[in-house]
Parts: sequence; structure tokens; C-alpha cells
Amino acid sequence: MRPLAQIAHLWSALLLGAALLLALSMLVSLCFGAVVFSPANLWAWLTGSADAQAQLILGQLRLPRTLLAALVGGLLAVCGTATQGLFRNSLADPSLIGVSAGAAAGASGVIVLLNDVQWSLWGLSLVSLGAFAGGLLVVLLVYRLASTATGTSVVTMLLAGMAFTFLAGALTSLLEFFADNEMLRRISLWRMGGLDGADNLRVGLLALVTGAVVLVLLRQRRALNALLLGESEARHLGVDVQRLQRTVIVCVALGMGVAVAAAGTIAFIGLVVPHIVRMLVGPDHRYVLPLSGFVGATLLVLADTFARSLISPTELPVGLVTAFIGAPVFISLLRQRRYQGIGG
Amino acid sequence: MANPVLEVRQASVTLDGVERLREVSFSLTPGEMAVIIGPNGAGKTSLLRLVAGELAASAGTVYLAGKESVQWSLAQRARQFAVLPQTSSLNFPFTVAEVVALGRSPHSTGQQLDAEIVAAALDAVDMTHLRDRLYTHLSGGEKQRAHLARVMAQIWRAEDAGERLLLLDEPTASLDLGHQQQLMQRVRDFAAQGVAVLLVLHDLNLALSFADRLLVLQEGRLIADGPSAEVLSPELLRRLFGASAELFHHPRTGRPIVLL
Repeated sequence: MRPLAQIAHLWSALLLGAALLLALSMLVSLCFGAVVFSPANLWAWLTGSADAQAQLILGQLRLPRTLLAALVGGLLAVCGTATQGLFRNSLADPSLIGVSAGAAAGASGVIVLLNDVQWSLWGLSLVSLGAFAGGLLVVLLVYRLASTATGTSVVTMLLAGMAFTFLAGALTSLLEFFADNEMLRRISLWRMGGLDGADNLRVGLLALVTGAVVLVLLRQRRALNALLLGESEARHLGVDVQRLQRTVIVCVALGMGVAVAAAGTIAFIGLVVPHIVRMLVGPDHRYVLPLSGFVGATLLVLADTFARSLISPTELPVGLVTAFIGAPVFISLLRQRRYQGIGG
Repeated sequence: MANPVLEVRQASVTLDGVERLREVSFSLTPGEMAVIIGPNGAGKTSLLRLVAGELAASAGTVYLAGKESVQWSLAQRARQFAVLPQTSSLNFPFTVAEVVALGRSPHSTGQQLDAEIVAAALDAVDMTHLRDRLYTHLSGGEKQRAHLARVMAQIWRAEDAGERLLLLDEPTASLDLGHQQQLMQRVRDFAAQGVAVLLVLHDLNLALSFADRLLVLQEGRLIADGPSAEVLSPELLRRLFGASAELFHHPRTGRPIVLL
């Protein structure tokens, strides 16, 4: 038995609850930071009667940042859910197919080789674009390597992902070897992930991509459920497995690429959130996809609030915070999985 | 005689340069239950996979409900023809009822009806009391029965499936004696509702006690096809398995029994 056995009856209440939780966490996120606002201040800002400084901090800095955190968190969790469905393994993670390593190599390449170029596109800096290109390139190569005329081998994809992760890692190390101290600092900070530099343009881009990825994946929910049975079983249930795999890979590559470009590598959201949600409502993608999105968004908003307030005015990289929260949660999940019926 | 649900005409299958099936021909009518037997490597699984559409015929044709197999779309196929593989690699904690409900995914018959069919299919395999249990907590035999219920649910109603065919690849492999019999009886009952059933079995006696018809394969050729009592002889068994065996008749049912 699972905690929410009669999920179908509770579903709308559950979704509403998750949305409210996200809204609450975003309000908390708006209040805390280097300058702390009271709910009364927030209200004043909403009604337009706040002073200029509060207007600036909340409207120009904290709101875009909170929105960005929610979008990136949701996107990471949804991409994680889809990857675990694709690999039919609840311990899979998008970084398995080399997205993160490729993105790190791309970002390092830009930091070291194009250090003096100041240029940006749609609110993304050149470093972000390098990360996006690197991540996408690796996924493309991994997918090409694993695909033959007869279909895509998921096992080959995993192995190819490992190989390209090593290759990209070696490339990053090589770049670091030639980098000066300032570049090294930038590379290592980028790798820890951060949501600073959020602006309306970036939020808009993320909203667009997140919306598209979630919609496309949600349309595949039945097929994704059938795929959990196995590839040939899914085919016998009428699922065009190759097309499904391609759709999921494109969505994950796009989603992860944009998330990494906007916020660097943020660990564990994509791995832990779908896992927890599945423990609660079971593996049906109809429920897991949207709920993971809300939970991932809530988690990253809270983690970012924490990262901004803990040692303010200095900020901790948010990727560090999620790793410090995520790793122990994951370890305790592994210890319990025998009792929770979580497949390996 | 009714129109065949399945007709295999002079079909050959070549896989990696090796000829697995050679000019196999037979047909199956609704309600008929045929068992494929033969030694290892005789092409039993290849034949099943050919019919299931997983392998393409290098020569000859497979007709499903009168239409060439290759002309069926995946979605159409899934509504009428169900396949139960030997083992399943599902390792996500669906409940038993949810696993069975996956069988309804090719249809859009509505939640209400699907729920009724899932309940009926669970009842048919005696798993109603396990419906809320997590699949990952089941024993091997229970998992197999859950999947049987799933493929039965997939082609449960003639109204939305039309002519129906169920393919089973060694469905009793992981079951104990009692559950082997139980499962075969369930499949028989299902066939009696007008579903053509084609299955691969290793256990000859199990095949003899439940099948209307035996399809005997040797080195990719169909060497015998007919009612089990007529087809099976000590000579055939020696030829097939190189084992000396005696044939008896069941004192009550009169069905043949093989004793090694």
C-alpha cells in the first residue's frame, strides 16, 4: 500500500495544495534576503504604495529571481521524471546522458577562451549559451551513437553518456589547466549553480520552454506509463516507442540545456523530487509529472531563499544548498527503498 | 468454419543470416487454442514474434483478421492482439490494479468501463484481493498472473476489439504446478469466449491437457499440425527430442500423457 492509495479522488485537492505550497514558498522568498521585508511591506508593494527602494528590490531583483527559481526547479524535476521514465529506472538522472558535463565543458570553454567577449542573447550571457550548446551537443552525440536503424538502445545511451561525461570532464580539466586564477574562480562558481542575474527576459524564456516541455511530456503520459512495462510491451500496447524516446530526449535536452544555461548545474532536484513524489502517489505519469513540477519549483525557491539569507549579504551558490539537502535525503531513501517498494 | 483470425502463409524468417522459420503455414480460428512445441532452437519464439509483428517475414505473409500483418498500425494492432512476454522488467511500484489498467491504454472506452473490465480481469485470475498491493512486492507467480490479467483486459470485450488473438510465450515458466494448471485453465476459459490463443509451452503434458491443437516445430519447419491425440506419437517424440518416451492415455479424460 502507498500513502495515497485513492489518488484519483484526491487529485484536484492535491494539485491545488501543491500550487498553494509553491505560492507560499514564493512569498517567503520575496520576504527574505539581504533586506528583510514584512508581509505588510509586501502588501504595500503589491498595492503600489511602497518606497522606491522596496519597489526596486522586490520588483527588479527578488520577483524575477523567485520566478526563475520556480521555473528552473520545476523544469529540472519534470525533466528528471521523464528521464527516469525513459530509462525505466527510478534512480536515473538527466546528467546520465551527459547534459551536465557537456554544459560544464561549454561554459568553461567560453570562460577561458572567450573571456573578453561581452555579448548576450535573450537575456543569456555568452557563458550560458556555451553551456546550452555544450549540453545539447553531448546529448545529440550520445543519441546518435545509441541509435541504429532498428531503434535506440537505452543501455548504449547510458554507456555513451558515461563516455561523453568523461570526455567532457577531461576537456573541462584541460581548460582549467590553462585558465588563470580569476577564470578558475568563475568556472568553479558557475559549476555550483546560482540564480543571480535573473531578469524578466530570462524569466520569459524559461517560462516559454518550461511550458512547452511540460505540455509535450504530459501528452505522452499514457505512453510513458506503458513504457515502464518494457519496450516491446509498450509496442504491443500500441506505443510508437522510437518516437516516444525521441520526443522525451528532445524535451529533456532542451529543458536541461535551458535550465543549466540559466542557473548552472543544480544537483539532486531532478533525481530526488520525482522519487519522493512517486512514493506518495505511485508511478503514474499523469500525476507524477505535474506534481513533480510543483514540488521541484517549491524546493528550489526555498533552497534559493536559504542560499540568499544564510550568510547575507554574501550568497551561497544554490547548487551547494540543494546538494547538501538532496544527498542526505537520497541516502535515506536508498536505505528505505526495500520497504517502500521502489524499484532499482 | 469461421474466418481465421490468424493465417500464416508460407512464411520464412531469416535472422542474422540464419533461417529460423522455413515456409510455415497454418491458421487459427476464434476460440481455438493452439500450442507450439518443439526442441530448443526449433523456432518457437521466432514464430510467436513473427505473428506479434516483432519479426518481419523474409518470405510469405502473415494475415491478421484477413488483413496483411504489415498493414496494421501499432494502435490498431494493440486493440485486437495482445502479447504476454516470458518475463517482464517492470520495477516501478504500480499497484496490481494499475498494472492491469495499463492493458486498457490502447482503448478510449472511458474510466467507468475500464474500471469494470480491470475488476473483471482481476477476478478472472483470482487476484481481486491483491488489487491494491504494490506490484514490486508480488511473488514471481503473482506477477505473471497480474500480466495475464493485463493482456486479457487489453482484449476483454469483443465490442471494442473485434476479432481477438492472444499470444503467450511460455506463460507458465515461473509458476509452480498448481498455478500452472490454474493459469492454463484461465487461458482456456478466455479462449472459450471467442479469443484465438497461440502459445509456446515447454511442458508437453501441460500442452496435451489444455491444447485443442499442437503445432510441432523442428528446425524451423512445421512438421505436424493437428489435434494433440492425433499428432503425438512415440516416434515423433524420439525424432524431436531424441528421447525415448511412452505415450499413455489419461484414464478419465482420455487425453494423451507423455512419460519419459
